[in-house]
Amino acid sequence: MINRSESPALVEPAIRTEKLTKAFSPTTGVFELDLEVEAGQIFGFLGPNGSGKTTLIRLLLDYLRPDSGEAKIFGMDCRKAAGFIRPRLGYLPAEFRLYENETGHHLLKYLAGLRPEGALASAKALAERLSLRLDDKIAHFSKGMKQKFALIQALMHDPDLLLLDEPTDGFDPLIQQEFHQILREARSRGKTIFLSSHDLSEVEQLCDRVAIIRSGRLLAVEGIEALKEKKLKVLSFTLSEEREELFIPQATLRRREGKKFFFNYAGKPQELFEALKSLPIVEFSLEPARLEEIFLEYYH
Amino acid sequence: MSWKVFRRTLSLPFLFSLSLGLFLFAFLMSAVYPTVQAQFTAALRLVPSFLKPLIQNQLGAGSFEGFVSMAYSHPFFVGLFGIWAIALAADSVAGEIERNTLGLMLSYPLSRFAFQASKIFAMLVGCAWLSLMLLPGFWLGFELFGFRHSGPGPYFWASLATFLLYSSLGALTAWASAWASEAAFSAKLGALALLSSFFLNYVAQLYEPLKAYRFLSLFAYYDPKSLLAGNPMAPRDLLVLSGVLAIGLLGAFITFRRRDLSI
Repeated sequence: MINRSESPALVEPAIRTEKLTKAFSPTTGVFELDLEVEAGQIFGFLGPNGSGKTTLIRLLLDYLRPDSGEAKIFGMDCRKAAGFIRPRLGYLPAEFRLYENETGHHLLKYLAGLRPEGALASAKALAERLSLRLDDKIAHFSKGMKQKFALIQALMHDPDLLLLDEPTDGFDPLIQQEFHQILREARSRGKTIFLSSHDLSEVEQLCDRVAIIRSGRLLAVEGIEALKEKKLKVLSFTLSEEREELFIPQATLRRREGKKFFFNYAGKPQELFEALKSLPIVEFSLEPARLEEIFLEYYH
Repeated sequence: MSWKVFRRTLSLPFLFSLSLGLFLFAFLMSAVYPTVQAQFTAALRLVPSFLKPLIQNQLGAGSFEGFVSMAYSHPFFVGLFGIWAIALAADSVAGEIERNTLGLMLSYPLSRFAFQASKIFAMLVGCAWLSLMLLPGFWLGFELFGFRHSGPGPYFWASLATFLLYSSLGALTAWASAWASEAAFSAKLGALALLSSFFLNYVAQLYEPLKAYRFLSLFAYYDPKSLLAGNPMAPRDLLVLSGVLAIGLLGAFITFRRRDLSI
């Protein structure tokens, strides 16, 4: 557990945006975004391509300047205090390239030189843990190796805040598990991880809270369990006879296979049982929806 | 300023290759001086008398300094020097954006200014180094062939003028780089500035109607022949070249500081 009274830096939220707006067009960018990410969490930021995930990260990194509103990291303005924020930040961009003509070791040495002492040793340990050979030239690295390298450089100084933009694209399942473990360990040390992703299963496994964004606007910010359990359930049942149409309050028909029906259900179980009482049901199940189904519900 | 970024940008193999090229070029100029001088004198007899002063003036015939001053405006020298100044300046921001490496680098504890200044400073240090690289070639010529020369002073003035000229071209290119997202685009603008400046100055000296526009060329403020003849650098030339250098750098820093980076 993090003792907030012992760590003044953690009193402030790791990330806070207020009415943050950066418009590239009426539907592209981010619009009046109010978001708060508490320190010591793994926070998932979900949305399809072009929804504004990367734009928010670029605003936090001071690569883009907001049209209005403000963004703060650990209580410091992302623009005015960028010099104080960056030493505490690790970043893995969604699209990046490395200096291809160098060996992994040479480049890592250079990058570690821009971080506090000890970063290189930590980077080498991470490389070993992720089974990355640093002797090869970057140009000969596979996509997964480059992704590992980028991850190592983001983690090597044990930053207070990690901004990860689509981090596991290119990882094999074993490495992905190791990566998840590294992030969990970072969280247990009180670090904050902001994970932008469209890999729902990853977010479901890792995150404490999740925000869903569409066309630059926040649709929801919830604890992952709350999001899964409170909002939506998957209802399926099989009838003993054919029915042309069925109406169940607060349920949306997702698909039908003969006498078997699949619904998304957002109401209370008691109300559901009442509605189903008159139906000739031979098989029934009601399960919490997976994040993917919740996600799709938001986008429909 | 980040010394690590500076040292990484200052590509020593590239710089030493260019230095070697300039050194050999200067030595070659020294070595061919007696032959060229003899042939030039013979050829000048065939030239109509009204053209003689112009040609003598253009080619700086008469003294060793007059002859080697041509080296400072020779296309080979202009080309080699231009490659360094333009290539490094064009790469300073736009090259990093084009390679998709800037996003990563700026997430480190480096301000935009520190990153850009380190890269531009490497370009300037290279320019200063290269501006001195003709001197060892000439010196070897003096030693081997026993030419009379007027001492090191004029050569250092010529080197200073050379540094200011190419640094200011580099600064203008760095400005373009701070605004662009492709190194090739900013390099083309830099090359255009260099070539148009070079040819405008050259043609304006021969073609009367263009004389009025010569002031637009940076080479109009660069007169190695006069400097090697022992004259001090004209205050106007010093002011203009230093001014362009300062404006170019200021423009580059402000542009990069204010721009959005979709990286």
